[in-house]
Amino acid sequence: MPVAGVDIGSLSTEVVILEKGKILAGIIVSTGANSKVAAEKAMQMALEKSGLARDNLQYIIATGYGRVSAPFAHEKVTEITCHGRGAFSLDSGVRTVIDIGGQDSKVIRLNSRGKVVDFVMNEKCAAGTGRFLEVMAHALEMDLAEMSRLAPLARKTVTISSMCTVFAESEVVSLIAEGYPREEIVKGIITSIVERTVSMANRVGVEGTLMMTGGVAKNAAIVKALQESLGIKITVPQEPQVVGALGAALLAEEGLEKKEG
Amino acid sequence: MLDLIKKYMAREKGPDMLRRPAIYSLGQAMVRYNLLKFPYRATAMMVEYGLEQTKKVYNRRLPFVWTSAFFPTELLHAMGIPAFSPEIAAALAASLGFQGNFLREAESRWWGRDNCSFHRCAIGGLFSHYYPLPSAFCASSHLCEGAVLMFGSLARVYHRPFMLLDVPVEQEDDSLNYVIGQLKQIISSLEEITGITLQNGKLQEAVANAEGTRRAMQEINELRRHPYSPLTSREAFSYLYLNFTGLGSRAMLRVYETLARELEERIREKKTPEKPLRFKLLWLHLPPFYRNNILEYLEEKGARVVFEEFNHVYWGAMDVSRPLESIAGRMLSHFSYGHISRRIEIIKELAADYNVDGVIHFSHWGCRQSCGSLRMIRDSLQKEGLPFLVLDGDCIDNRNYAPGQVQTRIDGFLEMLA
Amino acid sequence: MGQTAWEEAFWQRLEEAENDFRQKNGKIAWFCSYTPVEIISSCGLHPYRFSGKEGTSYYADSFLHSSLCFFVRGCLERVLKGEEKNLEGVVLVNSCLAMSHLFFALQKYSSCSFSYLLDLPRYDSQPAREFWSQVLRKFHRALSKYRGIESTEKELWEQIYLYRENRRRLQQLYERREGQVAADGHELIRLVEAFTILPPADFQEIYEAYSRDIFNKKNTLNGPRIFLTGSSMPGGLAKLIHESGGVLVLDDLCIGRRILQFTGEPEAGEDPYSFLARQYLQREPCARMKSAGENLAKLEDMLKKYQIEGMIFFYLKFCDPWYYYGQLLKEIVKDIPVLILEGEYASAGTGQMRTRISAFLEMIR
Repeated sequence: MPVAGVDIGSLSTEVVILEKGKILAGIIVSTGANSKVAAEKAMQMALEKSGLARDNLQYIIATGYGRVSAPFAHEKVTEITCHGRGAFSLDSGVRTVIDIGGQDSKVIRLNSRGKVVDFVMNEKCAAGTGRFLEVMAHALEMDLAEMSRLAPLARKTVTISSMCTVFAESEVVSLIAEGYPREEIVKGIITSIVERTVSMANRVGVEGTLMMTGGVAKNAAIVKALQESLGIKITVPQEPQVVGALGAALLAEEGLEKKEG
Repeated sequence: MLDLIKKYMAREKGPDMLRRPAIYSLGQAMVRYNLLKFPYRATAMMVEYGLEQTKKVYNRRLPFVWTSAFFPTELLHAMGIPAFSPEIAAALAASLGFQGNFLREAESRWWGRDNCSFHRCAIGGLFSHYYPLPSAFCASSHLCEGAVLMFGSLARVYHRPFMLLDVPVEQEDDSLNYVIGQLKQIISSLEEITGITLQNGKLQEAVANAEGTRRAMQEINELRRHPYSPLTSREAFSYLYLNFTGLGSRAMLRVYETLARELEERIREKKTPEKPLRFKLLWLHLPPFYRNNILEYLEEKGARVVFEEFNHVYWGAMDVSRPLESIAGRMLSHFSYGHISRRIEIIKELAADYNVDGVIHFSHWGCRQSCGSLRMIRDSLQKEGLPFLVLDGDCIDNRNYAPGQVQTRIDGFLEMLA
Repeated sequence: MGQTAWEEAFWQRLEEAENDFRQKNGKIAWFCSYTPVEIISSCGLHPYRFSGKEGTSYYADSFLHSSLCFFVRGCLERVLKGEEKNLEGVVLVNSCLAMSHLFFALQKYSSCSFSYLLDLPRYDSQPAREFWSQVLRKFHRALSKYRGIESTEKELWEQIYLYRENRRRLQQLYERREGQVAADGHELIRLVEAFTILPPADFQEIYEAYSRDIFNKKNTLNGPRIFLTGSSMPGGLAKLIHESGGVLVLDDLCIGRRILQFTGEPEAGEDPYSFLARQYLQREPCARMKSAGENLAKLEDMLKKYQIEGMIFFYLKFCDPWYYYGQLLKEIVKDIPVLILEGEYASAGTGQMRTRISAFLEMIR
């Protein structure tokens, strides 16, 4: 019985279709202005790829910010539980999950059965989230991929001493004006977001295998810096972006089993 | 009816009517003739009392004072001086939806959005002449530092006396004597400013009222442990007005005694709650007062806030024969003041008493007191195996309210409890 | 600004002395200028003012909320990161809520073997002085007990006089600044800093070298006459004003002039605790004291007396006492231009601060 998990984030939307634990399709599209449209589009693409019709899907769970307004979901589960579940299914040694999301960053602690036992999320302000990276990238007039590419080229790190996004943005602007090389500023920004995340991770405590999920996990420079700062190796799954949707799909299978009892 | 008021308030000159004493007489009449619906008779009594007090402060001929949340109001009730609580006024403004006007007014004259919005709202309310200018500003220094600083500043700007009760952190004899001395000083200053003399026996009467209130509160808190307790957290928070301004008054005593009887009656009826109860929660600090559905959303999900840190009766029996010592003792025994371990112990106690499944801390932006040592609370609760959720937000300023963020955190928390 | 080789050598020497001090054992860090250093020192320990790590405090942020000021988070950061060697204890004052929370965190999460929180009244009144003197007495007892020694009142008097001598010395430098000044205020603040770090005898040497070799040989400074006030601030801010062409004539800072206001004589029969309590409470108040607002009335006279042309007010973001003080300042001081700077515990060097200060100086000249 095929089921689906849909993760509708502020930046991208993912769909995973699953049958008996096997992934039939995994799709990533950008969310754009309308999350409903993006969800429909991603679902359509996933169905095409798996050769299924909408009616074949027995259970659908939506997660992420758009979950509340997801058009076709049978159930809504937060990305905290889904990322935890998804990460644990990929590696049962995972006890800590880090996800730097667009609006929210989170550190999730799992027990030996993969159940969430504690989590922390960023405080109200955007410092330490994907949004922070975006604002900084904008100030530097480059995209996130370019940031990742530039960072290793830096010989030194400029310290971004401001803690809040608003202060930090003007600090970056003045660093540019003072003629600091862009790669050094990029490295400074990355250090700043990494240290933020580490401070959050320390609040719940890091244990067991640490997996990083979400789009930011594709940014090698950030993962590397995070590893160095935490002093432990970070596992990054092949497709970190779909972990949330995968978790949702796995929960859908469980939900289906329960329903059919 | 409330919707009608809100609609009226939304008009440009809407808040103007708040300054007219007649409006409060009208409100009182409406309460008396049951034109307004309240969940409890006690609530109606409180509203009527609140309207009576507010009418007095807008009267413009009678002396009255601004009081901070933890100022010993027994003194004022003993002297018959009405108290205006700017924090409650801010909460009321937020619940009626016009706090934005006041916040903007404050921000256009004084800079920054990092201080407590209860206070920012009150500053704006005073600047724009909606909140009445008092004969004196009375603050106590324990817990809330912002109020001390705000009152001090406003007193300077408006050339009014500022009375500060400086409460030390240690519960020792030196501290007690220091506080008692100040209470005496404050009474004589109030007499001088208002021309009202403290009559013999009045202070004892106020302390007797406070003691009766304490017992009634304990009774209510005990009743709330009952599985059929009907009092929701939102309703419990609605009595905050009395907690901030009423202690020492006959009215507060009567309201709480009535509430205790009503709760008893309803529990006897054994009505099961509409939603099956999945989780019991303890709420730390205050909830937001503007339109939000956090507490209701929890109920909808089968999670009920069964008790709030704010309603904990932290002080011991008050001795009518030694009124000042009793009041000073109450000030010094606040569990949330002094060493953080005091607060943590009480949280653990309350969690055990109410047998809760989890604890939620609503972190009001700008409240250094409640937010400062969250990590220690988290660590201690974790040791007890108690899940802990921090909701960052703002009680008054809804520009700091992101429903999506809050919902995700609550959902994630409840999924974790399941 | 052109420093002579003499001067350079002096400042270097000062820094070396401080670095030597940092290697010592038995150091007790204090964080608020109301801390009675005399008592710590009379118990054979070395009190010194702790300054926070400038810049980010990511490590501390997992312990303290991000709406507490950057100074306390910077302090915790430095301690937890183990950047401070041989730190035996910490003594804090509940001067504000942020400081209290810093104390709880240090007590629980640092490895210091002694920690103490002093209960400072918000009044300067007779009952408040009596209360504060009891607090000081208890502190002296607790510290003696911790050390396992019997520290006497006589030893305490000795320390009181030692520190008072140095306070008086520094106050002399602050005198006669109504007219033209030779030494910029940032130098005086730097010397006050040395006073709060070095043992009294070491400081005395430094002071003598400064007053003998440098202070009296300076040429007068030209530029807009500035008064600096506000909360705790990053080290470089006062210097930045000087570098931008201003002349820092006077300050109202706990890292500057205020801490020196302890020059009185004990009354007959007065015990050391009462004397200390009186001296600490009677000085110009921190914004957290009840009299802070009242004291603003005196400020205007002082500004006139010192021919101040511009006032710079700095406050740390999230510091409530100085936030409210700043509002009053703005409402009350109308005759003199005021530059209000809000900042973190870091940004002294960044372009932002520099630009604001330079523009302000251009505006008033």
